[in-house]
Amino acid sequence: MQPQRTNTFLILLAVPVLALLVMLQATVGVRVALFGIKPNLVLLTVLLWTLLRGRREALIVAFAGGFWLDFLALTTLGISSLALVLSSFVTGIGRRAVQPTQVLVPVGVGILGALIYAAVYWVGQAVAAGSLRTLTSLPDYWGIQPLYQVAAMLFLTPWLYGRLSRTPDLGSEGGV
Amino acid sequence: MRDTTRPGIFGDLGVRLLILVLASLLLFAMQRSGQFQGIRAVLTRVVSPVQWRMMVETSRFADSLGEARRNRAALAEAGTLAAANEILSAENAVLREALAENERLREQLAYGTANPRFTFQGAHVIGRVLGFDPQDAQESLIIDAGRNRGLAVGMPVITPVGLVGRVSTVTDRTARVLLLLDQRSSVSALLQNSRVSGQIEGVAGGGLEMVFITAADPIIPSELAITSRLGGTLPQGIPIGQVRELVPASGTSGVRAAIEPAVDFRRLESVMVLTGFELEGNGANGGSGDNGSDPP
Repeated sequence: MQPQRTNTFLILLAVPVLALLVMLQATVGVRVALFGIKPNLVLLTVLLWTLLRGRREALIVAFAGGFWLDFLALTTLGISSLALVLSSFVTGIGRRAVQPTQVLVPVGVGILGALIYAAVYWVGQAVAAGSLRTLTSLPDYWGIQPLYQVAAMLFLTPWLYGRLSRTPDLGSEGGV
Repeated sequence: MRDTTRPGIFGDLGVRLLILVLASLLLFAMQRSGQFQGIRAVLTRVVSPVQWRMMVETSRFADSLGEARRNRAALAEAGTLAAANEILSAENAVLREALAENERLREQLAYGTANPRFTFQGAHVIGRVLGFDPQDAQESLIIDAGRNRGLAVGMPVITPVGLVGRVSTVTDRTARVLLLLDQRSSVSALLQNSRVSGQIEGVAGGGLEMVFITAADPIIPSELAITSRLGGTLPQGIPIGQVRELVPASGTSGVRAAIEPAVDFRRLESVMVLTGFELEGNGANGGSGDNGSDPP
């Protein structure tokens, strides 16, 4: 089975788009916050990319998106990139483990991706701050962070279902 | 068309993952050591105007959405208020109607108290027959009282304002009232100040005229015409109308007096039927009518 090819042009196009998404998230997201949690458009994009185009491209998109998140939010660089890369990688495994046409795949990916992202991000923040105190609020954060992603994934499920039905095989993705 | 898909620059997935994780950690380390400050400053200088403009535009857009939402809410509230207003208006109309009816009944009650010589039945006008029969040019009302309330043909029908007409037809639950305006209607009348007697008849076109009077009679303009007990079918003293003008009667030496009806026949809603009354002067009772009836 041939590994899925990487569309370099598409990835290059995604880099400025991700920057715009981060800015959109920082401006409009505040107005549509749910229980204090803003929609994470970059995470959503990475998860959708993972689902639809595979991890080979999604990992790069995740890194770029994480960079913009940290850069524009003036937080420690590298943390969001790491969180998104790992989130994309793990959810990609889960996505391959089940039939892509299953209706609940998008929702499961949303939950799993949000949890992994939150865990890595908060650990990274704790390390950056030199204190593990911030981790005490992580369980609460985990409880509500996936809400937006799950809601978004539910909203996108009909569309995703159609897309996944047409692209059931993403190739070997390098055997991982 | 150029093929934009080609093998990735990082090889297989594991290597790509490892490189990206290391790159992330490198960024993290550079940030922590302060080595990234220069690059970050340059990038910030480029991106900040874009970010600021985007913030302004999205805020403006969000505000306009909020404004639209508020407008929609205001419109919805206006719709709700309009619906409530319609309901309240309908209720208000019902209450006003009840109040008007209450006032009419009070007037009737007051009339009955002030005129103990009358016994009457109140009735609502439930229909109007205007020009029902072109040959007769009959003008009449249908009321919601009949034999069940003791009505009989010939009984006077009045309002607190004045004479309306007389019962012409009676059924079990309804009756027809021949209005004074009808050309077949004729009642004995008396001018209250000049004491001139005559007959008041309906004329074509809906007016009233007093006949059997002469130019020599000392009729006073605007004086009140009332019912007369002459003939024994009506009690005396019920207002009929006011003298408007005197008109020469064609072909005779007499005159006719145009009478402005006391009752506004167009606005009749409820009336009183005198089922019993005392003829002043001789103590006789009238108004019993002939009890004859025909179907409406």
